[in-house]
Amino acid sequence: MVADGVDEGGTHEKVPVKEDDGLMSNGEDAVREIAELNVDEEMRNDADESIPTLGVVLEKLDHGMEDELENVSVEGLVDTDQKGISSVEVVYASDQCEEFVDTDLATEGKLTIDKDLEVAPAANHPDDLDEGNATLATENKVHVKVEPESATASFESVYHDADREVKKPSSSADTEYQNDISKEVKHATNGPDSFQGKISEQVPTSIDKPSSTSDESVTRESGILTTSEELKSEKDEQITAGKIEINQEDVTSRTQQPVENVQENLHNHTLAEKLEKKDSDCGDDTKKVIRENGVQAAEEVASSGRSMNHAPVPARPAGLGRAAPLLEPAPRVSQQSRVNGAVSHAQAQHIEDPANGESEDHDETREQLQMIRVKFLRLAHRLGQTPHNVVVAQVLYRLGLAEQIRGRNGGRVGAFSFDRASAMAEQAEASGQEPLDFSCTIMVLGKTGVGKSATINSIFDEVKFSTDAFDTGTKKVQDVIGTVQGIKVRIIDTPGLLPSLTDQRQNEKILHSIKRFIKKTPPDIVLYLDRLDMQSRDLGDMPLLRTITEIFGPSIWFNAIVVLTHAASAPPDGPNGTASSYDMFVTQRSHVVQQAIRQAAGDMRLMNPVSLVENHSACRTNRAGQRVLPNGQVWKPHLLLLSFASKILAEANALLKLQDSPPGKPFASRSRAPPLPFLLSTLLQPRPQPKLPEEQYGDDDGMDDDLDESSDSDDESEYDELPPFKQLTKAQVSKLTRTQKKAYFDELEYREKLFMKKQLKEERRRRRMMKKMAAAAKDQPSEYIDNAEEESGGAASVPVPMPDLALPASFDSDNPTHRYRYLDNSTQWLVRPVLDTHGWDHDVGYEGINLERLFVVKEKIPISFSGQVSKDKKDANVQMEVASSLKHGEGKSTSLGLDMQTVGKDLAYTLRSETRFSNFRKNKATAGLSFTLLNDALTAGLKVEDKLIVNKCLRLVVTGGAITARGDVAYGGSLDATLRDKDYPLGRSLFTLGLSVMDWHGDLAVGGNIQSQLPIGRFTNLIARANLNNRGAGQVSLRVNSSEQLQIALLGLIPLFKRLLDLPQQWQLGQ
Amino acid sequence: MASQLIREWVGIQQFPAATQAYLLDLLSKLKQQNVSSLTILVMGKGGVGKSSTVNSVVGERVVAVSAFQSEGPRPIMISRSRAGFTLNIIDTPGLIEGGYVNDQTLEIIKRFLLDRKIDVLLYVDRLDAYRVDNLDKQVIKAITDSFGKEIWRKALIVLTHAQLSPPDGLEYDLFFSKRSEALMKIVKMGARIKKQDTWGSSIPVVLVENSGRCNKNEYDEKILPDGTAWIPNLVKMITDVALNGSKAILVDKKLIEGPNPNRRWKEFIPLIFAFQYFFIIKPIQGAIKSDIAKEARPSWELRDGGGASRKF
Repeated sequence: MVADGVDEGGTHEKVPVKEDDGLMSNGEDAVREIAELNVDEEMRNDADESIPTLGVVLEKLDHGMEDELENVSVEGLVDTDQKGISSVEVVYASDQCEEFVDTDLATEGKLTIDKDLEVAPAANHPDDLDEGNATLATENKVHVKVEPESATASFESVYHDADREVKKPSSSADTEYQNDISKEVKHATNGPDSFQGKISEQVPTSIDKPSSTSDESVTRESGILTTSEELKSEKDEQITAGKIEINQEDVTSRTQQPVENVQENLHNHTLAEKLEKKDSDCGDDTKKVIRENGVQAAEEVASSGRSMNHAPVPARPAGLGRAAPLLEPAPRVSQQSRVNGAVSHAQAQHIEDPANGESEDHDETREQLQMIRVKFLRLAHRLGQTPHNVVVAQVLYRLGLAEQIRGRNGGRVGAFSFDRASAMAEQAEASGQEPLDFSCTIMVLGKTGVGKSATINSIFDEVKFSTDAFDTGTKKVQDVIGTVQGIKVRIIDTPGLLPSLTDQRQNEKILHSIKRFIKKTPPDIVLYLDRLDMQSRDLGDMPLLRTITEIFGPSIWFNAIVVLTHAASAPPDGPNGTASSYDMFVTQRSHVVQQAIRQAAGDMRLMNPVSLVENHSACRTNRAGQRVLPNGQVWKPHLLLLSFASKILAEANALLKLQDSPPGKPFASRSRAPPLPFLLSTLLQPRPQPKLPEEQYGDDDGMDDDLDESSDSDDESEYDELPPFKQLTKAQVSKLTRTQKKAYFDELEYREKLFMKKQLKEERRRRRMMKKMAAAAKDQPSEYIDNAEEESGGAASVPVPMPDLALPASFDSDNPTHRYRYLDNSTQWLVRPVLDTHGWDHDVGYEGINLERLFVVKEKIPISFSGQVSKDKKDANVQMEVASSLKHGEGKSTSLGLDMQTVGKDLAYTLRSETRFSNFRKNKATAGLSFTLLNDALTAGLKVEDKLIVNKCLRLVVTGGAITARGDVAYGGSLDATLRDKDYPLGRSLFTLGLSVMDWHGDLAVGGNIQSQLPIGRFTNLIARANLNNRGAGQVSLRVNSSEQLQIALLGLIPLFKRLLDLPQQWQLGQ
Repeated sequence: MASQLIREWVGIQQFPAATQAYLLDLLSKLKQQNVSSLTILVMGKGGVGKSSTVNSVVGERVVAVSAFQSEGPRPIMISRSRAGFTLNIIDTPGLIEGGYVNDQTLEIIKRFLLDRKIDVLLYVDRLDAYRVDNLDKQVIKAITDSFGKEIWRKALIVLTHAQLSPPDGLEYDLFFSKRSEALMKIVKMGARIKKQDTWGSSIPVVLVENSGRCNKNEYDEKILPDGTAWIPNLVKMITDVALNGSKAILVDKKLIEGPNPNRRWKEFIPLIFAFQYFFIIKPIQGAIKSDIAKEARPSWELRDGGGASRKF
């Protein structure tokens, strides 16, 4: 029961936070807890008013100061992989320790149960530590280390943030999830064109992390680390390739993007090298730091109850006593290389575990890749481009690179040589036999009158759409299919957009119609058209670009080519009156448009390739009748080649399964694999079924009552039989001798115990009576029903006084608690503010609102509704849960629930159903189904749970489940055994054993934890905890809670003092 | 508002002889009409070539022009005098920023123009922009709101980038007329010029080509594709507009700030008072009186022996 209580306490994440202030947790759980706590408090209050609770935890004391991170004692650890941890995780680790310090120092006279409640959400922190470990493990291999200064610096900043963070465990839990998401992102979006987007996704999330104000550089660094690692592994090739690129660039200086790309590569190389150098420079210090972090990380991993439980609120962070933290994702080595550039596909390579026997199918893959290469070369050939064209070379290089990364184990012969492919292509073209299996869908977007339709006409060399200079020629979205040089091309023409801010409504309409149009057949590439000769300065197009971004999402720009029409227009006069050069003009103009797009997309890394177009009939042509720009470029093949290249690269991605969003769906919201382990652990979490109000206070089921019944008769009136006892005043107590005192307290305790037992029993009896009465009332003729119902209802709606916030003595205007007292009104709706009392100074502290209600339909079916909306500066959270249960037949009940919650930026909807059979007296089986819709991914889950009550003390819960989404399956199971004191809840001793297994992607994670709580003496509790997982990470913690020796609490001040003493030193260092 | 330095118009000597002669002729014509100074206000969207046009007309590089950056947000007044005649040209920054009319820029321009007389407004746009949109309308509306509808009587629509070959194989003249037609339509709409205002349809349209690549005729004058030298033509149109009989627009405080809101409806104050007296105060008094008359004396007052008589 303790364990359950803890679990349930943890379910309402916001609430435990508020408990400090006396705001009690919600609903049934809360009420039950209040009941328990009240009992206990009564017991304690006699002893002393302020009972300090002091947790002495081995390593946690050490954590007291982040300075001491370097000499964290490792005694407590069973085994720690000496894994490094990236600095992001460092942030977490120290966050965490701050949190522990805070909890341990708290002297609020809380019961241990309560204490656990606090710790439970806290313990859930670092969900992807393992992930981090995994990544770093690989990093260690290549000896990339954070440079020491930055590492310590991050600790510093983290410390300050942590302060704030501690006060908001709920938000941190939230962040955990974000973390998870970002990790997901890491996993899921790893394709060429997604890379830029991913970075942008990643960075915000990392900034959003609890230590948001801390250096982003930390996260960046980690990003660089992963990147550099990747790059280094490929360094040689890349550098040589880069050189090749440069040579080519020298030859043709027309398009600048590939060059920049190459430069960026080189830049990355240098970065990596720099890091390496730094690594060699910095000596043991760094390693130590990192190692310590790793240690800590491992601890944290171990300490988290179930580390995958980290949804914002409805996810139940199982507290202590639940299974071990092993439902975490399999460690995946995910790295991105940073290849950015010309064709707008930054390529991010995802490295699958190289152990999947890839070498067999590698040959096949390579063959297919070769086919793609040939196809592309044929396309290029048809467009009259040689393999030495910048764009062609770039694409070939990327294909080679992708192939290499993909098939690391395979031979790397011919990765960059395209001679064979070239020959094949030429042969195929020459014979003219083989049909070219290629088609490309291009969408054209742009302001009105820039020449969208005209461009399409030019591409097909015939008038597909009528154009008129003065009137909007295109009224609706339409597509045209045609062939260019035998290549099937489908182009979607769209109505012109309007630049004015006031016209954005109109634009939205147009864009929505486009969106509908392209839903079925999404374009492979988008052309954004603008006029070369129109100087759209002063952010004139910003509203338009923003509207596009809003409607299609920033991802539209990842696959976009900027097309500048009227390319034959003369450049304007330069500042000195002389005409500026054409190239300069084009460069400047492209820069303006690119910059505008970057701003609109909110991604500064975007580098849309630029292509020039001239549709004018008077355009200069070459001998072949192709239109030639003033710089000698034949624009049409160039434009088409750019478009085809992107399609080809997308195809290659699909082939190599570089985990990318489906190619050709650039604007479908980037789908990422739903976080299966997280969903699975949520699914496996036992959920209490909603109960009728009259059953509200009962235990999970009537079983306990039944079990207890036998003992009822025992010491029925033991308490009453005791001789009268007069309590002594404090002054009197102080006069007693030591032995007298002991005897007195013993007696007092005994009496308390008996009294409480009696109370419990009475309560139980009362409840049973009520039930009987209700049952009897039902049998009665109808006139009695009202009466009985009133009675039973009356019992249910006994207004539980909502403990208000503890009000401070003064009416300080800065203290929001005075402002947000709320009345516990008599309506069934329970509305409470969600306060963040530890927010910023002068902050309102009003974060959201919490709404609860329990309905009863037909007196039989309880429907509980709870919702919470909270919003702070960064994000808004919504959680809603509607649950209902129906008892049918003896011991059978089915519950149905609908959850809605924000997960990252998306809303996740979960529909779940559970059926519970209590077929035997001591056994309860539960089977459940759940469906989650997150983003556009539907996840289905199935679970089976069995709860076995061996005897009064021992109970066993076994859970197993599987969850699947998009062909990806994760299995998990857990075992949880609880051994309680005989006269629970009075006896405080408790022993819990948890085991959990999780299998995802063939990666097995097994973990177990043991926790025991023993009372030593009257006022002291010993809590021991140990856990271990199959990756060798584990933790042992020993904790003594005592309310006897107040002076021990002073120990907690030591780290504080030390910290204060160290401050000046650090300042000096800082200067 | 620093007083503008009035310099000798030396730029005029840069023009080809034919242009010079023509311009001086025009100036003397103006002097004959007792016009010794002319203030020209140049307005339009950003990047259409306002400053370039000013430079072209003055014949000097007086305003910095850059194709990709917008000039500062301040209007500039260029004053040049020649033979006792002063030409003031006020170049203004582009009115559009971020897809809407920048009110701040407009405000700055208005303040700059305070107590000045505008003889001619040059509304500048490009000839080679095919479409007119809401932005154009907004700019025109902003100008109208600032200086009144009447300013369009003194307006001249200037189309820059005149040297172009029209798309779709259109005739140049046809293209020009279509474009000016479209612009006129939007001007009328934006300025809310009613159909019956005949002057509305007579806003002249002038073509301009500021590029150094502009074709030249045998007198070295920059010419339009139709062969006319455009600088003399522009100046001639300017003088025509200046002398077209409509009053020049004096930008005074009232025009800028609008009527003083404190004085509005002031004459209605006594009326309101009277209304209040007769229809509010009187009925209330009456109601009170009738209430008092109807009131039953409370028991305690009767009991306490009505020594105190009622007063009110």
